[in-house]
Amino acid sequence: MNEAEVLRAEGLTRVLGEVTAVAGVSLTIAAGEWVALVGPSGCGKTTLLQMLGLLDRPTAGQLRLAGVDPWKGTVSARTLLRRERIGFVFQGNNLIEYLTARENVALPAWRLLGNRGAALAAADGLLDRLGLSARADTPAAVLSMGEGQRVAIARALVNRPQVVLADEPTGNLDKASGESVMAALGEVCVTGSALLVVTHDVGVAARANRTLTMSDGRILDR
Amino acid sequence: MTPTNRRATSGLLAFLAWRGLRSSPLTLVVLVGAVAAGVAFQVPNTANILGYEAEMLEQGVKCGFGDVRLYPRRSRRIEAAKATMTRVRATPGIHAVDAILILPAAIGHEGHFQSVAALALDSPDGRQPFRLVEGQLLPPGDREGILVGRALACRLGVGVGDKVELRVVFGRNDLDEDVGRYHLTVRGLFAGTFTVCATDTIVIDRRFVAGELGDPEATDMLLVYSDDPEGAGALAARLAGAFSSLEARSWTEDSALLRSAIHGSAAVAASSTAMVLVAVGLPVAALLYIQSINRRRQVALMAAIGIGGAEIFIVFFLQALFVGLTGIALGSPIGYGLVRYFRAHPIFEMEQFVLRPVLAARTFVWPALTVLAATLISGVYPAWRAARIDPAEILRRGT
Repeated sequence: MNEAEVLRAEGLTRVLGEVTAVAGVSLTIAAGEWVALVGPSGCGKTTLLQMLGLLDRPTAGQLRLAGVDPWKGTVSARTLLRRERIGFVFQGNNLIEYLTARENVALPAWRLLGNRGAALAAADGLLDRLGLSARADTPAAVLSMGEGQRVAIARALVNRPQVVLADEPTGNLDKASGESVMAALGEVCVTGSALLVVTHDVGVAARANRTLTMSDGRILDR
Repeated sequence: MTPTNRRATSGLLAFLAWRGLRSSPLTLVVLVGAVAAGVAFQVPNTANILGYEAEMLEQGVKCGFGDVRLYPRRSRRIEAAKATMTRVRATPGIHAVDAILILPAAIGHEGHFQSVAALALDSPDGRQPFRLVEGQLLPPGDREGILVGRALACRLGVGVGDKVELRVVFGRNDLDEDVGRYHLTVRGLFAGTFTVCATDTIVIDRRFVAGELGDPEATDMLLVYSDDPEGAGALAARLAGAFSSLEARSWTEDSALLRSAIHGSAAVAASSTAMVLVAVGLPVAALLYIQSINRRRQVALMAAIGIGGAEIFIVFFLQALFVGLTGIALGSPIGYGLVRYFRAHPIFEMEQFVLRPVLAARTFVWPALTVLAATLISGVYPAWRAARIDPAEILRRGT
């Protein structure tokens, strides 16, 4: 694994029941790189993303995140890796609905730094960068979907992760909201983090440095 | 993790717990209400049960036949009773000793007679096995006075200062009709339920009766007061060792009614505590479980952003703790108010046996701890379920 690589997967496989959702996927992602992962529904994109994000254990294959194999460590070590090195953006219902936008963004930093004030300050900075300062104290439950996704992007960035994994972040959005979310995603690579986006959105894929196409659990090209 | 970080993390988990609870106000109100109701019921219940036990011990032991009762082991009466009484009184831990002679008798007024137990009493330490409720005690050696149980006096239609006729059966072996007949003045009325019963007992002076018997030391039993009902068994064992001619029986051995009543009261307390635990625990467990099911997506998100399973368990467990503490804080004043009410309006009152609830720290501490324990135990399973949620599955399914 060279120094620029933040994530390397080799032969990742995931069998769910009798279905092989992901079949021997290998890929690498470098720091600051924006990679789009496209493919039809049910081809295993989300499952692959969850394995890369240490939420799901591969049935076979190897994963290295920042040079270490997370599945050889303890549950606590994987939790720590997620907290320190990975940011997530899901398709919808991304936020803890009974917290405000600001509190949602601050949450990972509060847990990582152990300092509420510093976490809230970091959250304020990110919300400001993404043009959400006015909505900072709005409960997540009343944010629009586009705002919610942008808040989720801010939350994914707050701990300065090495990689941000986004699962169809513009999937349920209208065009204007989708544009604002794409602009926010652009901030990810500005911070130096790698970005892997699962998407059906041609516009999102077009902005990526690289596009991977997945079908029946395999990556077809790169 | 540094202590500061640990404190900050604790603060984060408490914050998540509280905000999660607060987000469902109705659920929160029902949860806290269930706990508060449990405490508000259990506090006066405990106070009444403690008051009942205390009053039973007061009536049956402290103002009754004492902690230990001494009977002659082989002879009909206690031999060398005066000297024995002096030795017993010198035993460490003993506050008072009464000598008692019990004879069958009949008391009459205006030609109507009622059979009674005549308790001839000698109480040099001023401790009587009854509660005087009217008039005065018999002065030592009183040959003309009598104390009558209040319920009995009521039936006979006599009061303090009235004259009554008393016929005492001495039952000496060599006499067929060995009955003493006396005209006595009622000096006072007493109440009692467990040992000296106010419905069928009279009290006269032992020295007077013993003199009539021709045996100045005649004593059937000695009542020993140590004011330590729980230590009565040990004291009885010590006295039995020290006085071989006497049989020493603690109040628990000697008074089956009192012992059974206190055991019964403890059983009622235990079963009512169990019922409260179930009545509080089940709804709390059900509601917290539903909360944890409804929050699966949020839990999965927490896991995704690096909050560990143990921390998620703590978040949900803290919710149970918050509910428990808030419920106790609200239920305790209600319980206190009910205790005050029952002190002013006792739920049971008979012959000076008044069930007055005990207002003490344990009246509140024990119910609070049991209800808190029920709440925390109820929170364990929902918290465990939340901590075991598979975030990948939840996030894959979307709910």
